[in-house]
Amino acid sequence: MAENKKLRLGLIGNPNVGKTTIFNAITGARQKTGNWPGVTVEKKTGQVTHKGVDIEIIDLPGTYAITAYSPDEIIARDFILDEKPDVVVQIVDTTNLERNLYLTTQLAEITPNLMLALNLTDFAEAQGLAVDADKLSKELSIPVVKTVGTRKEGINELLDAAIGLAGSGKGTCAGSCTSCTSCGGFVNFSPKTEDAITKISEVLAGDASLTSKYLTRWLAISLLEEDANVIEKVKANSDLYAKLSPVLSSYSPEVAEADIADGRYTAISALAQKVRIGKVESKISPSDTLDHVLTDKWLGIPIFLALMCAAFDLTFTFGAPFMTLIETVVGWISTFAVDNVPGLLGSILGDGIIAGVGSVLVFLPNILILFFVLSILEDTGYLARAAFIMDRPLHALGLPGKAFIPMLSGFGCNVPGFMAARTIEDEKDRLLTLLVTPFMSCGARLPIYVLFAGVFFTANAGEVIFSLYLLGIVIAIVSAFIFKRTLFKGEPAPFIMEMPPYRIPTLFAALEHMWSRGELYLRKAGTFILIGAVIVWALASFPVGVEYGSQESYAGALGTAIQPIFEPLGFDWKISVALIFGFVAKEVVVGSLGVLYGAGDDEGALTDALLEDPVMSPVTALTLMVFTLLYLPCVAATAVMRQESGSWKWTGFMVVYTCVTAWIVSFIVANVAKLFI
Amino acid sequence: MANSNKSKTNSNSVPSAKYGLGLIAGILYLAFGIMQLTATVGFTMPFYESLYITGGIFNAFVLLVTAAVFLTGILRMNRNTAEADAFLDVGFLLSLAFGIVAILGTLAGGLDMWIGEEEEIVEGMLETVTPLLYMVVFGFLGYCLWAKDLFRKVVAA
Repeated sequence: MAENKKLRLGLIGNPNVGKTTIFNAITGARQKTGNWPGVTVEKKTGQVTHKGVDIEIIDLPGTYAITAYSPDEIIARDFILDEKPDVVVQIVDTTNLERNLYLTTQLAEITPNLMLALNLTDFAEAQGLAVDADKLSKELSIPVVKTVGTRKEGINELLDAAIGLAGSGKGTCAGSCTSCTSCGGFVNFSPKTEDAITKISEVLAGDASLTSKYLTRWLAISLLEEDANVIEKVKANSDLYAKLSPVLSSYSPEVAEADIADGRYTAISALAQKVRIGKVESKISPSDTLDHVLTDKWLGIPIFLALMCAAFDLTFTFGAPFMTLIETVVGWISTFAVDNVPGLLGSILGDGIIAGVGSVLVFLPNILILFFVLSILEDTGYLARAAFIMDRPLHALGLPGKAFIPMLSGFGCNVPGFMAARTIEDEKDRLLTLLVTPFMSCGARLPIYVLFAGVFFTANAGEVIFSLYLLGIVIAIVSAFIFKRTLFKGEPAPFIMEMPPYRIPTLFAALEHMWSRGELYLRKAGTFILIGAVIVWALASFPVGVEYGSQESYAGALGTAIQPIFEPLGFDWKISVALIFGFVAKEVVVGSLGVLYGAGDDEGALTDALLEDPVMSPVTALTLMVFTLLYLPCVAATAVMRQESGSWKWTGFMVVYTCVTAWIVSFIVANVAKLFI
Repeated sequence: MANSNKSKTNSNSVPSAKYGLGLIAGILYLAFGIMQLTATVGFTMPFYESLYITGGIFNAFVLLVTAAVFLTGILRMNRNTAEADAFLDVGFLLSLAFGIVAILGTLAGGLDMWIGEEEEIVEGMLETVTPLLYMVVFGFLGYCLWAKDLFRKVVAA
């Protein structure tokens, strides 16, 4: 059987133009999409076979330009430069053609295998911003197709054109010439700049190892723009750099940079005029109308807080009956296991697995509801506005406005929160954001709040949960304020973020997002939490002969050993053990308590056991929730922190800082709450 | 020429019914917000129970924010009608959204009682009623009459 042809295709484009939606449409994957910039921060790979060709698709992080500054932009640029995909598809937001074409002018200079996919054509046509794809293709001498990613329209045409481009041999151009459309781009700069490009190119032609790898014209332009990355590449050949230095010093980099940018904008403007169909009427868009109110100087933040209040209230109140239902089912299964499975196996099933995993499964409805609501808010484009309105207070306290995006992502899970910090260009600002992101309350902590707020603050559970999320933000901001004045001195970078248009979210997308979070939760329940429950059960059952879950068991010994640390907070040995196991995954705290309290036997057992435990009181419950909110993130998030900071020192600092902060704040809460509750 | 000017002015102005409804909604949301706040700190009046004002900082805050949106729209009528219109539209949308959350909360209360095989389901549901639930009538009316157009424009865009 003949082997299929193979093709590598990179998807690139400005942030929030629908790259991941196209990626999902091509590959059938379910990568996270969102109506805000910065959803994709690392490249993702998928496979598809189209007309006998095996195509590997690489979804790259969004970038406005290839003069890369932030880590996610560098990932996109390095991929094209070093890995040389067979085809580079730039996804273009048709409603914003001119801005997107800026990247096109640069991409055309670094790869001869470029094609465009005009995405969001439905929105563009609705706004009277249609583009003549054939004319654009002719003008740029590259394939151009129209797509609507959300409806999977134009996907086959995109793949056909990519296969055609890869087979055209266009990409075989050696890149040593300076003016052909295959390797020279489509922008002509001023005579002086063109003269400089020619002279630099002539010198560069002397280094075959460099010109065989990169297009000469792009190297010349980048050298004129003083691109640090390209200068480093050229400096590797000291003779070459010595020859180039006099040529480069005869041109002012500021003038060259301004002239290059001017040349690009002039070419884009002329091109856009030629390919636009119809005339655009200037009018106030519905997004502008909504932004008048939702980003209002005075009302923007209160509206955001009110919406978040509603989201957490719904999470608790609407989730309650479904929790009762699951609790009932878990109770039945547990009773059946204890009654019908004899001996140690019955105990491990009833007291260990069902009590531990069941205690956690009960909170699945709350997780689903919260992420459904957050998905709706995100897909409408509202969360991007939330980042915008939070910029002012964050900036005043020393945090860059861009930090709010990782912090918001951290509400879902701290892992993507840490990764989203890649969009921050400044090293100090990025580290600062990484250090405060763990204070954002992730979804894994929600079951702990729902359990304790539900049991000890029944009438105001929604408000208590919302207050905890708010406390996390406050502690993050206070920490940033302190760090900015001690460890990371300097002004935070200004925040520039493109506001996506408001869109009506689709029910399917919201349900899909909700389910992906639910699936992750269930997978955790079946792995980490299950293993954690079995370990806690074993510790609570042995050595042989001790009463299950007593202080004489291994769990009791462990808890008693560490209890002095937690005693000032009012925690007994059971809570201490649960908190230690919470480092594996935060849900394990509830699972461990379920096992230690023997909660599997009947419906509502953990709730009843907590109410009956003399150690537990509303004050202890509040203190425990605060401690869980603030103490170190789970092991997976800590590993990602190490990866993103590139430093064990800062990872260690984060672990110590979060634990110390958690202890101090919880101690204050425990003592102040006593006065009021 | 005079006619075209007149029609231009009309198209930019907020319908008086919308203005009236926004004003009433703003005042009522403000009043209920203040009452919820007073109930939260323990000050109650005899009629509070019949209006389901049982206190709660969350409810008070949401009521006051919605009131602020409506009243800002009213206050900006003379300055910028397009902006005033936007505030009223968003006020109706918020009223509708918070009302739906309140309705779902009440339904969930009933469902919880039903699953727990308890008999007083209706009483259980009534315990969860807040002013946000019945104030949804403003959101519903405002949405059907005016804010729906903004919603449609967002869909079209």
